Amino acid sequence: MTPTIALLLIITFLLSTVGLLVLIWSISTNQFSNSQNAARTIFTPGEEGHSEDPAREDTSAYKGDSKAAKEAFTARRVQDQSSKPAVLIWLSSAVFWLLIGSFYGLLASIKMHYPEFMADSQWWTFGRIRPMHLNAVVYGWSSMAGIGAVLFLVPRLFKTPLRGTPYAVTGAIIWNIGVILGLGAINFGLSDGQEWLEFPWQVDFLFVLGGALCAVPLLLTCARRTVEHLYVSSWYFLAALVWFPFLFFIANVPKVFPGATGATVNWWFAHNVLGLWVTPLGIGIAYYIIPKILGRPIISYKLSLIGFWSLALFYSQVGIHHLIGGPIPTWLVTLSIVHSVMMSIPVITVAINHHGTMWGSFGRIKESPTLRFVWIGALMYTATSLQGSLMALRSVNVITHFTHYTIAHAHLGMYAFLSFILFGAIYFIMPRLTDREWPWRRMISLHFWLVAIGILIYFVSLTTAGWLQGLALLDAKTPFLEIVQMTIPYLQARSLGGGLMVAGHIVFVVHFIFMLSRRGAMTQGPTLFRVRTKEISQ
Amino acid sequence: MSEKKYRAHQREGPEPEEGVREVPKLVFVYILILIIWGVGYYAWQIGKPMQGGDSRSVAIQPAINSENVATLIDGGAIYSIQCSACHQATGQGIPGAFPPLAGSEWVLADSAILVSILQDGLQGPIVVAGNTYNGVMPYFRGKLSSAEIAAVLTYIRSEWGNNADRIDPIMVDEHKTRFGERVPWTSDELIAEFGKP
Ligand code: HEM
Ligand code: HEM
Repeated sequence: MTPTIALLLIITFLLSTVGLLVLIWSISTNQFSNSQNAARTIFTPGEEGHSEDPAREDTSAYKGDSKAAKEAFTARRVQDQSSKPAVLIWLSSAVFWLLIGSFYGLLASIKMHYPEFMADSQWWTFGRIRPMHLNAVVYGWSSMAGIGAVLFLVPRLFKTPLRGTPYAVTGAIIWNIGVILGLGAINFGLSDGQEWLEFPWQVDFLFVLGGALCAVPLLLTCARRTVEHLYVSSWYFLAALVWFPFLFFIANVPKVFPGATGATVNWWFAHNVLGLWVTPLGIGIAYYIIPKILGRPIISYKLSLIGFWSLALFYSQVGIHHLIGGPIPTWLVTLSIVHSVMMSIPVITVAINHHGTMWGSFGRIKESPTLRFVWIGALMYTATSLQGSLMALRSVNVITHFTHYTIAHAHLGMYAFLSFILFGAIYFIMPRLTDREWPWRRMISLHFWLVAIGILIYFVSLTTAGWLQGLALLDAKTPFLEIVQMTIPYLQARSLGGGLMVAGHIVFVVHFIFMLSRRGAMTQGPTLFRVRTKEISQ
Repeated sequence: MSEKKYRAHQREGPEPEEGVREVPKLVFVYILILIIWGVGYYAWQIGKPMQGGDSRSVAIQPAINSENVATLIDGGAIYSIQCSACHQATGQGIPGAFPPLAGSEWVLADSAILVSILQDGLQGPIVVAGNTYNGVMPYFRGKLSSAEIAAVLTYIRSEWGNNADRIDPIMVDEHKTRFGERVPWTSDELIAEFGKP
């Protein structure tokens, strides 16, 4: 790298970072007086100061007896009813794709230590079912559940009923057709051949259309909002929904980016799906649920500002850390590494905000299923991202790249962070849409323990395998086959962990179907992990 | 409004909002440290190659233009780049797929056989140490220089317990003038031309 390039990079880096800090400073100083007023309007009158912490026995839960409070309560109900059809169709589809996707994941996992398994049919070869797993869980489960949760939260955040719900319903139908056609095409061997972009581009426009139809109600609702101040969750949701169509469209334009440029665009996109699409959805949901259930504000507005804007600045350039050591210009790789490490700024500020708000209330995760899933998810967000920043360093990446270590990190992010938060959100949302409680406490408990133990086994075994594999691969004297054989016990452990996760998903889906079809036990109190006499949030 | 209905809504806490706590000083210290680190990291890359690659990349062979540097060429390095994917770093090959080089009668036999295989490639069934293999080995004519072919052959003839004479680049050149651009050999042709190993 020449000194001129380095100088240009340094100047851009300093200008953008300092510019960002100035931006944050000006927003926070201007808006500050505003936001304190806004803070009061956000409380439903009379709610302020009512803690819901069951650890403190004598506090009275919010009963909503004043007239204003009753109005607010009715408004909230109307908001939830307005989004109900859209949310239900997005969430139910998501749950279906979770089952399909994780089934293909388990199959792929088994084939890695037992290659003869179902090997005589082209429909079940590893090269087809792995991308089917990836696309089913990313575009089917994660994206659809995320959009469902956003559609539910947006009317609440903007304090007005959702407008244009039919657009979102149509969007869901088109999106589902897209996933079906896309997975079908991959199964027929008609993949585009780039990771995360396997769906043929002819199918991709369905996603652009479905996503755009979803954005309509959000924009309509945003235009009619009755709140002055946008709560932090809405920043993330709006940003994600604006970013995603652009990313998806640019990366899928056929035949424009050949060769190494194509790989660069491919990974620019793949990390942006993670960083600018599913991550903001996950963080936004956590930003809503944690304070909601605890009944106390998130600790710092200024920290949320730093967290949001630095994510927006730094995330979009990190993609090339997937190509470290590849035939890509050194300056571009270096840029992605610096930005990957800078990503620890939003991660740490969000972590202080989330975990600082939880501080002193950790006991609540013993009872509330939603809070337990969401907070563990938030904690794993911190963990994955800090791990990711380290993995982007050349000295670490030279070991971990091309190994199972990356896959362990991928599931720590997509599963222990994102999927956990989505599970928690669904446990929160469904009773409010269907106006009944989850039928069985033990089903939720079983779901939690199966997936928690499953992902723990999954992560620990693959992390160990990946590290050993990486060290061995760097030693030219070790025969390749010996390394493959060394990893087999760990891959078997992964199938065990994955099997538990799939079992957990089956429990969850059965429970979800009972909930939807209004069958199963009719409980009167909220369905919590432990029976309590007092009413508290889910 | 009945007590039983909308229970989930009734027990809800307030809508979330942001508190006004200040950003801990430590966060700013951390940001500052990272900015300094970032500038340093960019500066540290000055002088590194412009085009990617790292310790895992295929090493670029020095240009060879005179025969007397032959002894400077590292046959082992060429082996690990060009040959070890099939024949393995241990020279044991992969049973049923790629024949071993360690202890192979073909490796230890007349050097003309080895030069022929490397120069023109090999295909069809071949018996090595009592086992039959049936595959295709690519030729290296035009991909490796005479000096490099000699170096890597000398390497495999002296590794893993093998002990045969070194091979001189001259032999490779002689082979070139005699056979030119020949199609890949079969083991029968090799035996017919050079005798049984
Ligand atoms: C239910 C249990 C699951 C099992 C057994 C499983 C298994 C697997 C396997 C075997 C792979 C291929 C790894 C490789 O090629 O080395 C994979 C990749 C992947 N899985 Fe899963 N998975 C499961 C659940 C999930 C879920 C729920 C998600 C996301 C929400 C997910 C996200 C991914 C992603 C993003 C990849 C691609 C990773 C990469 O490209 O490096 N998985 N999974
Ligand atoms: C600061 C944040 C993060 C950084 C710097 C980071 C960095 C990295 C790095 C360096 C790799 C490995 C590239 C390779 O060697 O092939 C990677 C892979 C991956 N990361 Fe992260 N990561 C971060 C956060 C996350 C989060 C929050 C998620 C999940 C939502 C996530 C999901 C993944 C996935 C799925 C892969 C595998 C991609 C593939 O190979 O298909 N990461 N990340």
